[in-house]
Amino acid sequence: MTDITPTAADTAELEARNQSTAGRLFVAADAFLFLGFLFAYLYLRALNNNDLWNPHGQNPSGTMGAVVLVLVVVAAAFVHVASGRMAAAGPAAFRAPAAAGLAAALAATVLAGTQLFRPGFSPSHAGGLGSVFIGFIAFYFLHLIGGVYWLETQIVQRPSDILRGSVPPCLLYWWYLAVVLAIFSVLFYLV
Amino acid sequence: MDSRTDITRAVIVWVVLAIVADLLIGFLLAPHMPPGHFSNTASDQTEINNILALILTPIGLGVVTFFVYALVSFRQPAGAIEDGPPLRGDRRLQLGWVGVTTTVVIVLAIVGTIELLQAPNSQAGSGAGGGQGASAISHPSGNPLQVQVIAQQWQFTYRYPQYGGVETFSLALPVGRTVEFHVTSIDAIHSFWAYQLGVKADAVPGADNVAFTTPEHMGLFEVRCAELCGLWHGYMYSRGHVLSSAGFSKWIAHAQIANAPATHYLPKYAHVYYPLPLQRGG
Amino acid sequence: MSHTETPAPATPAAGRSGILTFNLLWGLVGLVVGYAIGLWIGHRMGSRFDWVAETDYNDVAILIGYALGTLGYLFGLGILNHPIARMFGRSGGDIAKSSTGWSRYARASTDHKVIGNQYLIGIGIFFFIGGLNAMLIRTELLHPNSPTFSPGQYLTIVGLHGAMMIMMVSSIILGPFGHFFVPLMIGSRRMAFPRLEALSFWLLPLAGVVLMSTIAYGGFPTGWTGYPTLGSQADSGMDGYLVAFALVGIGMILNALNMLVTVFNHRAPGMTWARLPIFVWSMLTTSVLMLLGPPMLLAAVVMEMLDRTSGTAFFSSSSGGSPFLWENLFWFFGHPEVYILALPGFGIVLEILPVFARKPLWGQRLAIAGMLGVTLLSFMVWQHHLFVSGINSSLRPFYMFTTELISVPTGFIFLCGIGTLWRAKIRYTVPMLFALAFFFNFLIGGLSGVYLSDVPSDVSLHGSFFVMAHFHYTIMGGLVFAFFAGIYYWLPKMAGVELNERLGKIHFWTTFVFFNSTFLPLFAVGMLGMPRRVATYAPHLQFLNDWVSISAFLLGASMLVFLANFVWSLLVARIPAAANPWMARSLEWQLPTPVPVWDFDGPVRILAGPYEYGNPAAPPVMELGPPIVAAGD
Repeated sequence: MTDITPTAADTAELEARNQSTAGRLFVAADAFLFLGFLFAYLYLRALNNNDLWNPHGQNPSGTMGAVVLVLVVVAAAFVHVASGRMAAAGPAAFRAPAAAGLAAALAATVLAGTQLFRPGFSPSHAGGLGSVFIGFIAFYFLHLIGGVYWLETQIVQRPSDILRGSVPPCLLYWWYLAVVLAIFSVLFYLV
Repeated sequence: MDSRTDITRAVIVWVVLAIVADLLIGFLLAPHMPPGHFSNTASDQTEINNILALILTPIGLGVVTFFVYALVSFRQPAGAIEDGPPLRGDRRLQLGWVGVTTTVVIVLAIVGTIELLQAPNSQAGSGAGGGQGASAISHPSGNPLQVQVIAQQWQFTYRYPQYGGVETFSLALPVGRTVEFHVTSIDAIHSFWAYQLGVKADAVPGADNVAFTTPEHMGLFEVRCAELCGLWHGYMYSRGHVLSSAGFSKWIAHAQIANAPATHYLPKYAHVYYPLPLQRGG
Repeated sequence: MSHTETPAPATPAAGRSGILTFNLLWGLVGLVVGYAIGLWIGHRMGSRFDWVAETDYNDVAILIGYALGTLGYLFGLGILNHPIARMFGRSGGDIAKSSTGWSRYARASTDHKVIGNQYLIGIGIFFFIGGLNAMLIRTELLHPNSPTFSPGQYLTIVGLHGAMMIMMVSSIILGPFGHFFVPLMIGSRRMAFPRLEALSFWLLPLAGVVLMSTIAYGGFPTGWTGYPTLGSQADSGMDGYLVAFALVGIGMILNALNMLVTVFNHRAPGMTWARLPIFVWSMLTTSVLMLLGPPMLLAAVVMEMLDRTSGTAFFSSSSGGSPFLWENLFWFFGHPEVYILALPGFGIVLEILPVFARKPLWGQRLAIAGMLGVTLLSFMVWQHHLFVSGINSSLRPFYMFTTELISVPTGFIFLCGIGTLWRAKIRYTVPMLFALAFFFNFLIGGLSGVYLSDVPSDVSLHGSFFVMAHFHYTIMGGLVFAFFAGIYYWLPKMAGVELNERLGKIHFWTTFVFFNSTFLPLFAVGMLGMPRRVATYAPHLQFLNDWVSISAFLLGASMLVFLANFVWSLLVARIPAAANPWMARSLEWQLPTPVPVWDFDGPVRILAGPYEYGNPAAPPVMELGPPIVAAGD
């Protein structure tokens, strides 16, 4: 439908620019959301009210966390490769590596969902660390679902100029998700 | 009439208005400025309220004078629509404005900080709500009277750790002695506001909010909850008394005897007050 | 900026119409059905959790209900059609750009002008509901100690008034005027993301419905600030508060994203940053705040939801959390939020002043610098809301300084106002009167703010009616006066009809007088020791309170004058407005009234700034290329 954009000719370039600006702005806004959880982590850890920041046995599983992190990084790397191939060899070369990335992303989403709904401890006795973990992973799970949706829409589209415009922000988003998870993994499992 | 004349006139009007206003504030309003002089903290707040009124009123009057002068003088002639002169700004004037406002702000911040940390009337500075634990910046010397204020829905309880941990529903303080309030809550967030004493400190569950004051007159003062705390928030008020030293000794001795059976079962002085708040209800 | 080589389509695709297509009605049906399904699922789920079984409330069910209700509502409105189509590799399911007739306002549209008008009506309704709540509050406060309402009812009213005004009305300028005029003022034919624009509008009435549904659950007792632990122990009405705030927050973020991308990428050739109208600058800076503040709020709101549903301990100090966490996160959003309310006001009054002073905007760069300065500083002051809360006292001098510093960039706006009026040729139209009153009110609001930034003063004034008077001076006296300036100024373009000027002047004078008569005494009431949000007060304050209440009722009545004017002019009199009744130079007034569907007939080229009054050498503000005809025409 030509209803929203007056013509296809005008908008391919402009649309690409819009998408890339919006992608960067969205990441900026979204970073503030995770900053809220980072603040919660540091604040509650520093306060350690009633010594309940990290009561015994209320830790999320580090193995699971490492697996999810690896899967997200793999997904981002595949999208990166797909994006590079598309720039070199045209949109047709995008699909195969992107689909592999989607598979990794789906696996990461399922495992993050497991972390959220089967954290291995009861959230109502979790203390500070467990609470921040549950809140973070709930948000992260939603972000993964959004990322999977975004990637999926890229893959099923007919190769066209619109696709070219919206791949870079999608790629940016996946790397951003990987960085966020890496930072929080260090906080949750290492320190 | 050129622009310079207009500015001169407006400045004259402003200066006259500012002087008159400051005189009125200084002689009529300042002696009655809330919250009064019931305690040293209240005196400090009164003082800074007056300083601010004396600084801010001329600023406000300046802005209003120039606006009103422009609105009265520079009207569109009837029946025609003419354009004004295409003035786009004046570098010197703008820089001057930035300089002056920044200076005023810095002066205000310095005055406020001095008053906060080292007020003339008190050793400890006039900021109530001194934060969790003893503050390095503003802590009075000597041996203040400790009072733990325990807020709950919808009542304050007062605890005197130096007098065997006796708990009362009414607050009494001796005149002239520094008081160290430890404000906490066992359920929702409340705020302990002793209006005449110039003390306000939020009562937050799990936190120990410290505030200092020294009552300087004997008499009654009001205590109200100043943070929305649920259904009967509006009804969470009571009265406190500032007594003479002898009167206070008598009062506390009586309270200790009357409350002895209950005091026996109360826990030692603690930052976190038990029983733990319920997650729900209450 | 190459997009201007844009053929206009011959006619907008004839939108499907009729009651059977996607519209608000089906949206509401979807809302109810989704809510019911969610409630059912939630009850099935919740019965397995011991912390649900222990209490009388199943917040899990209510939250899932609201979530599925949201999906159903968006589906019924047709907003989900396109995202779903995209999943299957199609590009269909677009929302119709525009159709004719009144029914287009009850349907998702991608026409920024329709959305602007939808915002005007939608926010207007919530503004009046919030205002009615204020009347009820003042009724309660007529007498010191004989309540009209039960304590629960009173808290519900107080909470709804605050939440309604802060959440729903926060976009009262960015919504209607931003969406309608920003594209026109920068020479664009649309916002960057029209579908997103439709979504961000339709989230707002949904949030309003959710907010009002809390009444059915006994309201929420926390006021608009939602402080825990009260928020954790509150009844299920609290869930509605959280969901509504989350929806508003998401809407704000999307709105800001859209607005920023539009201004960055959709400016017509020749629309340099220096020529950008000051109103667009204000929308830009507001959008920066709206982009970065609400995510913190979302984080806080979800923490509270988790505390309420799954028993986590974010805000419960006895289990390892802290109520201060909420206070910090909330005010990190909350203080930028009050500048989200103030900055659009600056923009509108500085936009209007040059038109009726017939002079260029004096010191435009200074005004822009002021807005940018406010934007930056507003993220550094939030702890002044926590001066007496018991956080580390060593932080207070810093936040006192930053808070007072924010009056410097605000002062720029005043200097630019005075400079523009100096030696001008002032016309006293209704929009001009409201713009001038804005300066007066905001001056008082700003100066009283200095008391609150000063810690020793704030110890007494915090949480009292002084604070309440202060922010009503900045928000009601600032934002709402600026909104009325905007509506009298721009409604001729938006609705194509003139507003009655005599009624407008009556509205202005009654509003101005009774506004000041209502809120000025409240400074004294607060200084004399009356806390906010109480139903009772000391008997010696009754005279002042009664004065305030009666003034408030008259202020309410003055709003009815506006309503009468609005309804009369729009529905009965319908005097067609001239294309440029104020003889303004800015771009939006160079278009015919009503504005054509595709705004500009040909490619736009900007030749001069919008405020070249008194400059005979200035070229016209824009030139249009030859009309472009779509290929099929």
